[in-house]
Amino acid sequence: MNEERREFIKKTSIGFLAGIGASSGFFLNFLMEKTDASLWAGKSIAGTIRWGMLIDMRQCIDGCQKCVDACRLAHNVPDFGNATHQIEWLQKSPYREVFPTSGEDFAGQERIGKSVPSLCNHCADPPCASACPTQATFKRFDGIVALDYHRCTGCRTCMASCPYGAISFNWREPRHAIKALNESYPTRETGVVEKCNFCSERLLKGKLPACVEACPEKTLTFGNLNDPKSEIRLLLEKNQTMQRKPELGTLPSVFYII
Amino acid sequence: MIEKALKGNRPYWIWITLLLLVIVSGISAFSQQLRLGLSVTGLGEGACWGISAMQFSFMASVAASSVLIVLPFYLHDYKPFGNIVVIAQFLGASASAIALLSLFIDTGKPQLLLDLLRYATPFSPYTWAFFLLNGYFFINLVTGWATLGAERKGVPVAAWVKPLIYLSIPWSIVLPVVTGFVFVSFSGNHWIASLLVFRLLASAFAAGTAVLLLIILILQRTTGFDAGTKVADKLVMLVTYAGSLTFALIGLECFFRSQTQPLMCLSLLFGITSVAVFFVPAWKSSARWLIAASVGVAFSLWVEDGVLLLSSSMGGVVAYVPTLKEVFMTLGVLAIGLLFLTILLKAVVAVKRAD
Amino acid sequence: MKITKRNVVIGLLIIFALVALRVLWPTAKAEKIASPTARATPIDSTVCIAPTEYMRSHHMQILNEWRNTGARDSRPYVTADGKKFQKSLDTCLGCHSNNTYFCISCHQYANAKPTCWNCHLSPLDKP
Repeated sequence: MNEERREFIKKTSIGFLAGIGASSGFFLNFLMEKTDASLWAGKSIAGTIRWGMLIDMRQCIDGCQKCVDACRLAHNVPDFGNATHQIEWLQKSPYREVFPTSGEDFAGQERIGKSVPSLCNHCADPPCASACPTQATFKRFDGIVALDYHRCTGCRTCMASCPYGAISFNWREPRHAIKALNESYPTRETGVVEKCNFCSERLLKGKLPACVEACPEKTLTFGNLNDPKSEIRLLLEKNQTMQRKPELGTLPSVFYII
Repeated sequence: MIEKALKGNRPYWIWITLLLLVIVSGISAFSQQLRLGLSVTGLGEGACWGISAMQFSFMASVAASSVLIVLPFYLHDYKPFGNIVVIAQFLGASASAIALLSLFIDTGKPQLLLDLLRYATPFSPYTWAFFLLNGYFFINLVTGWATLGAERKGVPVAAWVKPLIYLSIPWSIVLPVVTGFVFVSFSGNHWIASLLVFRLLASAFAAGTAVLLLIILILQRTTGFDAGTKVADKLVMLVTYAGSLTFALIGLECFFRSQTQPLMCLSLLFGITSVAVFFVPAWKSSARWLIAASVGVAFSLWVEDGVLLLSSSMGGVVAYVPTLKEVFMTLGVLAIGLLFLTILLKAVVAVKRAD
Repeated sequence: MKITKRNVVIGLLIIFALVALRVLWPTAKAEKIASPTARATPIDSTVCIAPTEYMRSHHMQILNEWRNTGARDSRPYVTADGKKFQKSLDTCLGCHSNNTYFCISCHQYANAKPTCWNCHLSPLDKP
C-alpha cells in the first residue's frame, strides 16, 4: 500500500466518521424513539383513560347487521366479496369461531347459537404492537391499539401475531371495492394492514363509536374502563362477563355477556 | 479479483444465463406485484406469510451455519478448514442477502424499506432480524474478501479483520435465535414455542452445513477445486450430528403434539432418510450419494420451516397454495443470491488455484 | 487480538452497558387527560396556520411533520401566535377544499406527486 493511497483512505474514513457525527441527530432520533412504559403496563390507573366495550349478547338480534354496515360506511371498509382477500373491522361470526376455547361446547343453542360481533380487542398487552417493526401498530394513551398507516410497511407480523384474527391486509387496491364512499374518512391503499380503531376519529369529536350508535338495542356499551362510575364499569360489576381467549394474557378491552 | 467472474467455460456461462433468466422472470413477477398488490400471491386471510418467508427463515439459518467453519478455524486453529473458510463466509453473506431480499419482496410497501431503519423498534424481533441479517451480510462479505485478497497477495490478513470475524461468531448464534423469535410471536405457534428456537438453531447448523457440503462437492466436479478429504469428512460429521439432533427434535415434536401434521411427517421422513445416508460408510465416500443426501437434508428443513408459518391461530394448518408468480419471485431472489455466490466463488477458486 | 485480562474487562463492561441500557431504557410519563372531549381541538377555520408566503414554500415540511406525528402525538399543533389546530389533513381541507384544484393545479405544474391521495380523498375524488 503506497503512501498516497494510505492518506486517501485515512481522509475518507475521517470524512465518513464526520458524516456519521453529522447525521447523529437522525440516528439518535430513531434509537431514542419515545416509548411510554406506563402504557405497556396495562394496569388500570385512575385518572387515565382506557376505552373498552361490552357486548351484551342477550340483547343482540340474530341476523341484524346494522353495526357491521355502520362500521363499513364510517371507515370506507372495502368489500371484495372474496373470502381470502376480505377486510373486516367488525364482523359477526359463529360463537365457536369467536370463543374457540371458552369451554361452552355443550351449551344450548340459545346461548351459543347466535353469531357474535367480533372486533379488535384493543388489548392492554397487544402482541401485534410488540411485533410491529416500525411501531405502525402502537398503543395510544387511551388504550386504543391504533395503526399509523403512513409508516406501515405491510410486513404482516401483526396479522400473524394477533390471536383473534382482527387485522386485515389490503391484498389489492381497496378503493374500487368500496360500496358507498364516506367523504369524511380516508381509505387505505394496497399493501397496508387495517383494523378497528374504536372510532378514535369520532371520539375526538365527543361522539360514540359508529357501531354503538347504530345498534337498535342496547347490545353495545362503550366507555372508559378506568372510570369506576362509567356505565360500562357498572355493567361489568353487576354481570358475569367474558373475554376472548383470556388464557393468552393479552388483556382484551372488549367484554362479552353471553 | 472480481474480474475472474468474466472468464469461464461453457457450463459456467450456461449456469449464469440460467440464473439471469430466473432473475428476469422473478423481476417481471415482482413488477406485477408492485402494480397489483400481494393479491398476485396465494396468500390471504388464512396464510399471511408464504414461501418467501419460508425462504427467509431457511436462508437466515444457512447464513448462520458458517460459524461451524469459522469457529474451529479461527478459535481452535483447525488448519484443514483454512481451505474453505472463505467459502463459508461468502455462503453466509449470500444467504443473508437472499433472506433479506425474501423479506423485502414479501412486504406490502417495499418502498418504505427505509422506515425499518428510521422507526426501528428495539423490542420487535422483525427489526432485529433485519438488522442482524444486514450486519451479518457485511461482516462476512468484508472479512471474506479481505482474507481472500491477503491470500492472493501472500501477505498476512490486515489487523482489523480478525476482530470482525470474532464478532461474527456470537452474531451467527443470535441470528437463528432472533429469526425463531419472529415465528414464536406468531399466534399459531404456542405449543411448539418451547422447542422452536432451539430447533431452529440446530436445523441452522444442519441445513447450512449440508448446503456447504453441496457447494464443495459441486466445485470439485466443475472446477476441480479440492478442499481435501479431511474437510469433506469433517463436514459430513457435522451434518450427521446437527442433522440427527434436528430430526430427533422434530421427531419428538411430531410424537408429542396432538395433531401431527402430514407435511411435518413428510419432511421428517425425508430428513431421516437423508441423514441415514451419512451413516453408511460406502455411501459416505461416494460423491453422488453425498450430493443427494445434502439436497435431501436441505429440502426437508426448508419444508420444516414452512410448517412454522402455516400453523393457524385457530389450530391446524391453513390452506395455502403458492401461485406461479409467487414461485417465480421466490426463485428469482434465490437466483440473485446464487449469482452473487457464483461470482464470489469464482474469485475464490481462481485464487486457490493461483491462476 | 489476544484474550488478555484487559480485553475481558472491556468485554464485560460492554455487556454490562447493554444490560444497563435495557433496564434503564428511557420511559416517558403517561399523559394525564382530564376528559376526552378536552382533546378535541376545534378547527379554527378563519385563518391559515401560517402566512401564505410561508405556506407556499414550507407546506410540505409542515404536512410531513403532521403526517409523521399526527397519529401518535395527540397534542394539537400550536402556531406562532398561539392558535391550536388538529394535526390532520382535514384541517387543511376544511378551508382549501373550497377550491377543487387548490392542491392539484400547482402539483401538476411542478410535477410533484405526493402520496396523500392514495388514501385521503382529494377534493377531486369527492362527487
